[in-house]
Amino acid sequence: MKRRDDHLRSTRRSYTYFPVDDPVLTERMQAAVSVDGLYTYMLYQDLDHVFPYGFGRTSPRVQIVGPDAERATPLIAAALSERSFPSLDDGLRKFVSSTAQYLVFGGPCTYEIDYLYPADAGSDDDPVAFGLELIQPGTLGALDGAPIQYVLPTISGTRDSTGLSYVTLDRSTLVVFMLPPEFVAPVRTLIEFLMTANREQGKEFELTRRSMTETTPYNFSAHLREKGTLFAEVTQPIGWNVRGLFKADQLEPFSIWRQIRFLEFKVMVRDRIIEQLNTAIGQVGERMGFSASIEVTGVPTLEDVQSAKDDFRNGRRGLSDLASATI
Amino acid sequence: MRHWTWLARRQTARRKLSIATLGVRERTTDTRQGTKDVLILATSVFFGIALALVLVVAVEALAGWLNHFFHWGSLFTPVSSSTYETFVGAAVGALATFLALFFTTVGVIASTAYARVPGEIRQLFVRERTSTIYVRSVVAALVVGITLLSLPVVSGYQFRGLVVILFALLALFSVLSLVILGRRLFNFFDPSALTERLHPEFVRAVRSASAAGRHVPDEVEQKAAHARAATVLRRYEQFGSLISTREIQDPSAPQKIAYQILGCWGLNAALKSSIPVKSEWFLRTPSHPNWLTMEHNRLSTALETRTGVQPTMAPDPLWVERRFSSQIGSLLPSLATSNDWSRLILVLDAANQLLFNLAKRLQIEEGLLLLKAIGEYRRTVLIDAEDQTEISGDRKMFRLALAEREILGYTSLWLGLARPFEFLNLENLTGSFDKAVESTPNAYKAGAPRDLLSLFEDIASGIAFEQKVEHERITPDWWVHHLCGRVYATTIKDAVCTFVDDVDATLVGPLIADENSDPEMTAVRIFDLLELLHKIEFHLQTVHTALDSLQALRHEPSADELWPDAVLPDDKPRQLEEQLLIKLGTAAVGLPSTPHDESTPDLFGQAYRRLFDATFRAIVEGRDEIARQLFPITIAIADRARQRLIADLSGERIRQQAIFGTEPLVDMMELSGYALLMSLVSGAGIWPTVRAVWDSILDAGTAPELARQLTAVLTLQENVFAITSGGVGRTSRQQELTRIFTAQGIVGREHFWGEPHTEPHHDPIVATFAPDGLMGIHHDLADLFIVEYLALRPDLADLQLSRGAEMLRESIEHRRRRARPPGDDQGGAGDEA
Repeated sequence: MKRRDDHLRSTRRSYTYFPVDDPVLTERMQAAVSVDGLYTYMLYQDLDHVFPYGFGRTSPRVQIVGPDAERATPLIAAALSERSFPSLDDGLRKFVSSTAQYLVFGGPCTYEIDYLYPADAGSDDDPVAFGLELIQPGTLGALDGAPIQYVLPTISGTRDSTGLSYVTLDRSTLVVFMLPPEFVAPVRTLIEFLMTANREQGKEFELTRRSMTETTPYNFSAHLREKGTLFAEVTQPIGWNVRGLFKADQLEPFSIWRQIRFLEFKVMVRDRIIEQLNTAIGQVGERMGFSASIEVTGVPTLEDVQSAKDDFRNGRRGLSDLASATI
Repeated sequence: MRHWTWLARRQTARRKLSIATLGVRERTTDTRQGTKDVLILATSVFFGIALALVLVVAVEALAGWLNHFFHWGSLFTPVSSSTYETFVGAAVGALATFLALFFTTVGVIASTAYARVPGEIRQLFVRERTSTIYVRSVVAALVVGITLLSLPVVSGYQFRGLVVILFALLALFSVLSLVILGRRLFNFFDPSALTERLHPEFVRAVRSASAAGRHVPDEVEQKAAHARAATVLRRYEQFGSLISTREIQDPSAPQKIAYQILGCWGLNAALKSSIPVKSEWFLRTPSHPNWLTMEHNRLSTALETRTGVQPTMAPDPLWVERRFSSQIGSLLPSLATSNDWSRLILVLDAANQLLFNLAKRLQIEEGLLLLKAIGEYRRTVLIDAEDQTEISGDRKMFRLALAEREILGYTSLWLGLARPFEFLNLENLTGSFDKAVESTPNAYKAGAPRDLLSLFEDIASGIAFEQKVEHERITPDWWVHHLCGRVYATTIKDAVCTFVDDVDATLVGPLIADENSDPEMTAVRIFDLLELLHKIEFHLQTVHTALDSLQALRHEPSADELWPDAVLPDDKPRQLEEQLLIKLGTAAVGLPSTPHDESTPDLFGQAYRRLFDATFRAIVEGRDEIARQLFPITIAIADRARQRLIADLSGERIRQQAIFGTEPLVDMMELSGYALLMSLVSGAGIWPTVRAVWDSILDAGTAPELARQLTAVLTLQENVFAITSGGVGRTSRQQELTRIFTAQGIVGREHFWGEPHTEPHHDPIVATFAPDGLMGIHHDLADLFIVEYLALRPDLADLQLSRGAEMLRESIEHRRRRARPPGDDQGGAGDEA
């Protein structure tokens, strides 16, 4: 495989940019995905493992299957690897993990299929390559029912009624990734909670300082306990245990159970993203004349999760064994 | 901060509510207690009233009957109601006088018996509950009486007769109360009478600190209970100090207090498992956190605020027991006067019963605290005795009894510790684990030892947390069983090891190290310790069985390295026993072997029997080192035992004297025979030592006479057809040898049908003694000593052998002839060995 040829003609309409000197766009993009703060950043990091690295006991194996697998493999690898050296394994891992992070922190995530043609190709020619370009969260909009992307005024002179510059997008090239429906609302609540917790974090320092110099009703242990309960309640749908930061009242089986439940969440998100990615590849294949899809083996599955749950309940395996199996 | 202020307000409101509730509850309890006291007092008073009424009715009836015959003015006719004023006036005056008399009596007692006592105790006396009730009733009567007198004067209103009767009853109640109280008041010259109120106070305190049903006491209740108990403990200390410093010692007072304290301790032990582990009931001591293992949130806060981490106040689970132990320790000296120590022994017996109950609940540390107090007192008594040049016989008995009771305390503790494991039922145990973790209140119903209770609390609150957060229980049963089993097994193992180590460090070690100890005291302590060690050795198997049973709860897939191994100090009892036996040998030399006096324990006789048995066992079990040390001592004591027996049996017939008085000589020969035989069996043994001992005895010019005496003794014993105690003992030792030989495959040529043929032992003597099936061993070991040592001495060539010895010699010769080449007929077994 070789790196994507930069001299190809692109059908991409969206842009990737930094919102320099544009406070409105800056605010929109920051509001869409913000991981600043201890708790959100921890979750962001943990979601990087939605698609596991290959250092475990069972390394993930990615392959392209289908009638045109041989021809499609380099094309898909290049598409997933963006501008780095094409690698199907690394490309897919990175794509799935980053998409999962965007889905959790920003909600539905949209990619634009970028069809690439030779510079001298005619209008009837087929594309020779393709790419999947993320439309930066917070920049996607709609105007009269048509999708648009808000951009810097230096990119486009077209403005909407609020005065923001935008470019129009082709709906047929857009692919939208979404979380499994049962997670959408709880994850939104969770992220809002974590962002609030981020803002509140550190306020206990002042309370503690005051309690050491004067008599105050503040109780650090009670604070921690209350905080732990709130975190445990809000993270219940996805099973995240906040890396064991709050241990009050939490028994060892509970934290292992949470680990299994978080793995379950990650497996469901990963499977959902790969399923949607295969739909997009199918769409590209129709245009480029191939039929293929991605198949992943050697990663934890829902069956593995169910087996871990069963083992947990009936004691067939020890907790430390289950813990190492679910990392 | 608003949130915390609101939270604090809510907590303050709750606290106030709790304080108010507690106040109401306290008052209710107080009222109930008061009612009880009133009832007691009223019963006595109303009994008097009833008698008075019967008398009035009887007199009224008599007056009515007499009225038919006599008409002496208004003597037997109804009188005008206006005359009550006189009666009331007189009664009021009398009541006032009685009240003054009462307070005078109280004042006299307070200024004499309570002149030099802490104010708290004086208050306790002055505010004694029944006195207070009496004063109140008198005051009530006075008030009613004064009203009866004053109101008609002021308003002209006339009271009905019922009010007069009421006054009369109150006046009667007060007068009769004083009769009862006045008698009781004099009891308070002894301040210990006041302690009767302390025991129920402590009971109330510990009960209010304990969980009952679904109610778990909150922080306010716990603190109130602690304060109440601390007051009781302080008062007990004050009473103890007061009594022990009195000029005239009366052991009944400290005995009463000691019983009360032991009772309080027993109740505390029973309820301890229902008190939350972190309860405010316990005294708090600072516990500093480990900065290297501190949790992130606490650490980051400390670093961010550049502050230290405040030590947490950890509960001291032994705060009550420490105080009780100290109080018992300070009371013990007052319990024994110079001529009466029976009360002390009774208290120690009660303490031993408590120790058993403590150990049943795995409260070993608590038990050891009590034993420490008793041990310190025993040492004080010993030191005092060392300062005295002459100790009376009774005092000596007291010291021995005290030493015995101390070790009996350890025995009680050990037996109590082993008791629950005798009935360990795994199914019930797991059932109780499951039940205990269902909810926090349930945890306090299990009667668990402290560590297990702490785990129950954690699991119960963890499960409650899971139900709140996950809406279901997450923690599986197998994990609960595994963890609880592990903690329980660890608790058992720690308790056993702590106990055995304490026996070594506190009892055996100092006894062995003390080179100037009194032989009698040493012997008594060793006898009791040997019994204790035997019990430890026996019940260690019970503990092993319990630990093995708990293994069934272990979750194997968890590969939990924290599960305690089943290693117990199994060898320790035997090691300590050997040390004690050697010490007993040393002490026995100093024991008087004067003729037996039935009024005192026969320590010398007991020491001889113990040492002989221990030497025998050491020889046949191949423990050469201990056998080598014990044998010369046993032989030396055997000779003294023989001499004492001569004196003991001086009043018996000659034949009886000869039979029983020579037993120690047979013992000496038998033991030597065993030493010789076992050396031939093992190739090592202690025969060279034994032979050297006999050589030194016989080379001192005693040979012909002593040898003749020894063979004569065996001849005499052969001709005795009665079953003697010594004979039975020798038979049982032969059975022991049979068991050991059979276990080693040393059996005779004869065998039963179907049993495989066994080659005889290569040594002719061993082969001669090899047991033949059910027939066992045919020869006496004493004869072996005669045949193979004594008769072979050149200076005893013409020794007349007993019949049994002759038969043995022939049997051995027969075996030798079969084993040796023709013409070789040299030497005895002693030389071979």
